[in-house]
Amino acid sequence: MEGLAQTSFCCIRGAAGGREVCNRMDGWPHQAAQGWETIVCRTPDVFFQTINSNQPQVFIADDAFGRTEYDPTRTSRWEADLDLVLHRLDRRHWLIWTSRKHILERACEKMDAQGKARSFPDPGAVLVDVSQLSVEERALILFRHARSAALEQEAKKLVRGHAAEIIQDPEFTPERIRRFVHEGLPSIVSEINSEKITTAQVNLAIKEALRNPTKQMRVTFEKLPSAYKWFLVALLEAPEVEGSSLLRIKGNLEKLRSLYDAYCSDRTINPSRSLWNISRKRL
Amino acid sequence: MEHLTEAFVKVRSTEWGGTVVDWIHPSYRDLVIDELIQNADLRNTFLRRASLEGVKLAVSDTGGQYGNRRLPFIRSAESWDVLQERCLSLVKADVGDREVLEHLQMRLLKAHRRSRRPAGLE
Repeated sequence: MEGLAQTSFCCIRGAAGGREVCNRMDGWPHQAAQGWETIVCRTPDVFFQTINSNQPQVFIADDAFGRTEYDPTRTSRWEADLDLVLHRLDRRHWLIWTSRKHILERACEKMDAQGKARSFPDPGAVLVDVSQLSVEERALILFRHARSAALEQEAKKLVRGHAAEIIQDPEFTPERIRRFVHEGLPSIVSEINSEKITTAQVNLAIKEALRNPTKQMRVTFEKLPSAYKWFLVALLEAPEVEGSSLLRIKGNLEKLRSLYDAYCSDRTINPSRSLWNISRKRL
Repeated sequence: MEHLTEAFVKVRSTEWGGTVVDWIHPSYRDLVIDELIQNADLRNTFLRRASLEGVKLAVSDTGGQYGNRRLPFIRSAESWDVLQERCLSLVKADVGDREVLEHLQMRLLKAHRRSRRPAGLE
């Protein structure tokens, strides 16, 4: 936060999710109380459309260079406008990029910035790595997720009893802890309740839940009816809302529907044509 | 939809009343990509019907949690052929971003040639 106040720019590696970035910053409550506005922008266009010199603002370019893979198109956009963007930053206008480590490295390698931006980004100078969390920060993350999950007594006891191991686990990341609390913990507690599990097995189950967090998700995906699978496949191609002003207003549902229909126009692929209608009513 | 909002996606409203569906976390997107990689039927159907975004994903590199996922949906010579056919049909349909498509087509041809070159000639 101190570095950000000096440079008005920083890059966060391994962060999860737009506004959550701000909520995790130590001094953020103070900034928020002073009326700072948070704007999630994936491209410079949104930055230029929303910057307001009378209002303190923090712009968060979440997954600035691609979400799960490097996206050269996004890099080109930042590259072309970075000089202008940096000229608009000051003590009351900050920019935060978030990115996975390897995607950021790739983007920096490819970026050919001009003007003031030539000296940017200097990842070494402005990089914050969220894997470098202190014990206190880890404990706070565990506590917040456990509190928001409204755990049963037995689950709370389990978290208290194993807090030190969980916090010190080398695989600790905020998202893994969220999944552990919401997905892994209930099944461990139900096994404890049915006395099917020994203390040593509880320790192993906790480690396994932290180290292999997607195991259950894979099982869930495989069991989904094909129409649901195609909905998720269509979502792979859906545009990110923060990338365009029109989508910020309209949302991405319409686009998602046309993508879904492209996969499911053939009844042999999707016998459940009603998925979209059902989804829409519920949404 | 509850099947999906419990596990994979989150739904929110925009300030103007629109609806946004998004992944709960990028790792769920990774998971679906990995499932497509594993499942040849899903993968080939994806390649045959992909939009421009899907084509970009198919030929992406530096992907996945550790950055080692490269050309995720190109698993065989057949995948290249299906993808090439899809690119041509997108160009014909003029879906926009013609420049990106032409660039992709060039990249595809280069990568295709490299993949058919005997090992050691790189």
